[in-house]
Order: sequence, then structure tokens, then C-alpha cells
Amino acid sequence: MSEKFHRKLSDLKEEVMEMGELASGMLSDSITALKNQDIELADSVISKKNKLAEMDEDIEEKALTFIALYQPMARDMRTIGCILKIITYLARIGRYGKDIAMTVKELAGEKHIGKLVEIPYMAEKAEEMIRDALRAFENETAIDAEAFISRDDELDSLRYSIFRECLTYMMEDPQKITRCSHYIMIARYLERCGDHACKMAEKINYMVTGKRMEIK
Amino acid sequence: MKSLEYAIETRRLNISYGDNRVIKDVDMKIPKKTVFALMGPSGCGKSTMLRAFNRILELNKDAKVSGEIRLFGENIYAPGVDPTEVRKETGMVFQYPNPFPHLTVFENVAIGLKLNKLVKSRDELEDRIHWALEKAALLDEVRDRLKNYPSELSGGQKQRLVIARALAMKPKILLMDEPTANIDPIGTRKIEELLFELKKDYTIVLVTHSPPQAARVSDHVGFLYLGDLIEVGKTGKIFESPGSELTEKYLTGELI
Amino acid sequence: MSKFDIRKIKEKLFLVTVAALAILAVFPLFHIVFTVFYEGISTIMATGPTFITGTLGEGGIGPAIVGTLMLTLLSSIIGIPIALAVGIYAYEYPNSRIGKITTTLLQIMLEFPTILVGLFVMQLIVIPMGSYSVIAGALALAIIMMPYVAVYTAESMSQIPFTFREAAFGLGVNRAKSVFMIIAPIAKRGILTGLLISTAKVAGETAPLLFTAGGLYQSYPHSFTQPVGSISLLIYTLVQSPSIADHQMAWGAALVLMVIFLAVFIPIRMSLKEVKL
Repeated sequence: MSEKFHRKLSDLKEEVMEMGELASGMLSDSITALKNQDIELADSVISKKNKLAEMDEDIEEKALTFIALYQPMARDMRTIGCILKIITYLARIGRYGKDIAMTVKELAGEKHIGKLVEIPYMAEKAEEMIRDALRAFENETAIDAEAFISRDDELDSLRYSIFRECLTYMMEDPQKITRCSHYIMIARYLERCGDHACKMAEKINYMVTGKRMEIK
Repeated sequence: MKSLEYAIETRRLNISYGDNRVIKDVDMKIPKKTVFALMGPSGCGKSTMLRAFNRILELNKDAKVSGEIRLFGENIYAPGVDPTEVRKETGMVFQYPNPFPHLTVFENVAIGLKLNKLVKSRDELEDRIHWALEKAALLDEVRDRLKNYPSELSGGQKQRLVIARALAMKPKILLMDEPTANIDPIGTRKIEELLFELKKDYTIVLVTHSPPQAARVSDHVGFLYLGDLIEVGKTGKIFESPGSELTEKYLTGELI
Repeated sequence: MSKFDIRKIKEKLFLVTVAALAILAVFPLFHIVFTVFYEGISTIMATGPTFITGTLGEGGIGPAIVGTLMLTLLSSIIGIPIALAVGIYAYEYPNSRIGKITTTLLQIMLEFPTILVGLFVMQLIVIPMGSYSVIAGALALAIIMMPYVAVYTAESMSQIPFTFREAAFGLGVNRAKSVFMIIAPIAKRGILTGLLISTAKVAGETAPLLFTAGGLYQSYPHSFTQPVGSISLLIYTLVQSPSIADHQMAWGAALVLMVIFLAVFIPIRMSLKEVKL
């Protein structure tokens, strides 16, 4: 009974990992598409949103069935609770990827303003956080809170600096307002992705250790 | 005076059968008017410990108890304490529903009162028995069968009859040793629901090998493993995030 | 022939064999009952009611019937209370030294030759008193009866599940009351069976009475210190006589003994309500 349950639970964790790869892949592909102004890639990101929603629903359903069938306790219960939470965060992250991909199509007509360094850098940081969180989930290891806090702070300041930069462009040339608003939005999305990664890390840490931890 | 907050308190409680130590240095506090579940795998000593709380363990000559068990602050193992007095204050319900087969439903509830001469008149006796059966949520089912023998009752009804028999003595504490282990699911549910009612007036110590049952009915849980009290805490906390790795393993089924 | 048929035949064969053996075993019992009834009834019919009420001189066995009843009653009065106490002791303290010795002793006494008990009581009472007596006979019977009662009592009480004992103690009932008011009543059927078997056994005993009760058939017993007869003892005496008439009388006495035995044993045995656990 319990062996069967644990086997099924680890299968479910595999599915969560797949969903994590899908969501973070959508995010990184959308940024690549942005950099290269690659509409085809952007379209492929957008097309993945249905798959993402399906996985979200499917995993949730399985997790609820597990609770009904096996009445899991302690770590098992925390694992299922954690899964229910992080699939929501992963779905949000994937959807930000889709949102960025939509913007890619808007921005495709013209060259980027500036060299577009900070946005890919932000994305890299956010993906790193997501990857760390998922790795901890997969291996059931505790979270290094400090690593998350420092990167989260970095994302915040990057977003602010992009905002300042865009503001300057916009004041100089009202023609750039539309494009710049998009950059500001993208920065905002990436910063939110970082926040979601932090929340995921908190849940995963609770799953592993049974102790609450706040990343702020 | 602080100990009066607790219905039961053990201090360095050790119990052994010959050379075999089955309870090791247990310090535990059970708050008043709550359901306290003692859980653990079979052979962990939970039934033994429960039987020490009303000194019924003494029926087993090999059992040796040392340390203190305080019921409402009184050490029941102090010299000069009469075990029969302790037992009158603590009702006990067993794993196997054991109403006395030679007595009717009525007599089963009355026997403790009669043999201890605790009631003065027939009227008082009848009142008390109706009260106890009512309290045990059995009165409506046996009202017309008070003169029948318990062999006619279902397992769940027998167990509630045993609860009524214990309640008739007006104990302060109810000790229950896996009371639903031999009862069907409907009977189990009724007994579990009864616990919610009873804890308003009594302190209930429930021994169970079923963690889901402990989770459903108890306010606090103690986890015993091989005679050691591994962990005590609020039920919600223990079942969500136990403090001990061993409890975690037990609850996730990784411990035999 | 298929395997299945062989199996069926084997099964039938087994059943028939077992039934035949069972009949063979029960046959002597029916034969005894039938013979005693057949031979006895003609004697009693010939003599009429005097056979039950009259003395030996009048052709009756009245004193022997009264003697059997007196001996059985008195031996029960002496033996049962002590035996119950011993049985309960053996149940309550099975592991104490005295308890263990008692249990072993009881087992030995169950198989003890009854004539030796008679000899012992003769030494103890008959010789000092200078006469056979009801007391001596009853004492010998009591000694024979006690181990049965005690062993049955201890056995049937120890078969009561431990949980009832815990339940009784759990109610704050003390040890004596738990044993006498709860455990013993639950074991009632077993204990009473022991009483009945032992009473029936001593009612039919002969050997221990030979040197203790003596025998009294020409008049009714009127004192506990005087000799007394019993039906079984009378049968023994009558059969030893060369007279055919005496033999016929013995058959009549045997029928009376059997009827008393069945009349007491069967109704009580049947009226005992089983306590369902």
C-alpha cells in the first residue's frame, strides 16, 4: 500500500519536473525570441500554453485523488501540498513566457532600443532561481535562502534600472513610448517570475524540512 | 500546583517485564478534557503504558513500574495508594468489546456501582444507568432491550455498552485501548463521534495503531516507538510536520 | 474410472468405517441400559411399591436409597465448598508454589484408587469411633469428589478470557468480588458440570464405602454415627450371594440407581444456559 503510494508519488513528482521544464523553457525561449526577433519561436512558445494548462489541471487532479485514496500524512502530505502550490507558480511563470512571446511579435517590426543586455540578464537570473528551486524539489534538499534573497534583490534593482532607462528614452522621444512600455512590462514579468521562484523555494523547503521559511 | 493543569502526568516512567524494558523514561503531560492519542507500531508499549494509568497492569505479576504517574497531581504509585480507588476514577474500554456475558444490558452498566456499593437506592441506580447509556449514545438503541443479554448487540453497540459501564462510575478519565480495532466502520464512526461529546466532560486517552484515527479524533498525539516517547504535540502539527524523523517515517509508512 | 470417482468412493468408505466404529463404541452403553431396564423392571413389577419403600426384609431397598441420598448430600456439603475454594485458589495463583503443588496434587487425586481412600478414612475415623458411620462414608466420598470439582472449577475459570478480568478490575472491583461475582458466574456452566459429574460419580461409588459406611438394609438409618447402606453397596452385596432371588433384587436396585442418576443429571445438564462470550 504505502510502497505503491510512494511509487505513484514519485511518478507525480516526475510530472511536476516536466511541467517545470516546460514552463522555464517557455520563459527562456521567449527571451531568445525577443533577442533574435524570432517570430516563429515566439509562436511556438504561445502554442505551448495549452499544454501547460493541461499539465496544471492533470497534476492537480492526481494530487487530489492521492489525498482521497491514501490519506497521506507528514512528509507525504507536505509533498502533495507543495505540488499543488508549485504547479500554480509554474503555470504563472509559463504564462509570463507566453506574454513575453506576444510582445516579441509587437516589437518585431523595428530594431531594439539600446543593446538589450539587462533583460536577458534578468531572465538568466530568474531561470537560475527556478532551476535551483526545481532541483531542490527533485532531490528533496533544503533551500539556501540567502542565494534566493540576493538574486531576488538583484532582480528588483535590475527592473528599476530598466524602468529608469526607459523613462529617459521616453522623455527624450515620445515615439518610443510604446516600445519602452513593452520593455518595462517584460522587466516587470521577469521580476514576478523571480518572486514566484522564491515562493516555490519556500514551499519546497517546507516540504523537505517541515519548517516554515520566508524569503524576503 | 501547576501540575493540576494536567489530568495525567508521568515523570521518568519506566515499565519492564522482567529484564525487558518496555517503557523508557517517559515524561508526558496530558491536558484535561482533551483526547490524547498514543500511537505507535505494535509492541511499542502503548497498551502497557495505558494499563499503568489505572494500575490494572498489576494483574500481570511480571510488570514492574517505577517513576511517577500523577492523576490530577496525585501520584498513584505513591505508597499507601489503594489501586481500586484509582481504578474507580479511571474508566477503561478495551480492544475486544467485553461486556460481561452473564449479565443483562442493564446489569452490565450497574455492576460497578453495585459491587462498589456506590448507589443507595434502586431509583438512583436506574437513573444513573439511563444517564450512562444516554451519555454513551446507546440508550435509544437498547431502551427496550435492557433485560436482554449483550450477545444480541452488534460489536459497536457492545463497545458503547462498555463505555456506558465505565461512565456509570463517573470517572474523570477514560482510557481506551484500541476501542475500534474489532468494530465495523459504521460502529467505528459512532464511537469516534462519541469521543467529541465525551471530551467535554472527560479526559480521554486513546491508544491506537491507526494514525488516521489519531488524526481524526485527537487533540494531542504522543508517538511511542520501542518504549521511547519520540514526540508529543498538537495533532495538526504532528501529522503535518512532525519534529522527529522517526515520526515522519512512521506516518509515511516507512517504518514497520 | 476417473480420479474424481475414486476420491468419492474413498470418502464414502471413510464415512462408513467411522459410523461403524461409533456404533460399536456406543453399543455396550445401550446394551447396559437395556439389560438393566429389562431385568430390573420385572423385579420391581413383581414386588410393587414396597421395592422402593420397604426394608430388605420386606423385599425392598428403601434404606439403601435413603443411605445413598444421605451420603451424597453430606459428602457434597463437606466436599464442594472446600473443592470450590481449592479450585479458585488454583485459578487465582497458578504460578505460586502452593498453586503449582495444588494443581499437581489434584491431578494425582483424580486418578487415585478409590479403595485406598476408603482404607484411609477407616484408619482415620472408623477405627477410633469403633463403628462404620454415615460420617465416615461421606468423608470418603467427599475426598473422592473434591479433585473433580476443583479441577473443573479451575479449568473452566481459566478458560474465561483475560479481558473480563481486566474489565472487572478496571471498574475498581476488588479481587475477591471480581472472582466470585464476575469470573465465577461467567464460568458457571463449567463449574456446575464439574459438580454434577462428581456428584453422580460419588452417588455410584462402591469401593470407598466398603470399609466406611458398612451397610444397613434391614432398617432405615437414623443417626450420622451409625452404619449406613447405599444402593451400589447393596448391589455389590446382593450379587455376591448365591441366591437367584438376590440377583434379581440387584437388577431392581441397579434400575433405581440408573433412574436416579438420569433423573438428576439430564434435566440439570439441559437447563444450564450457556453463557455466550
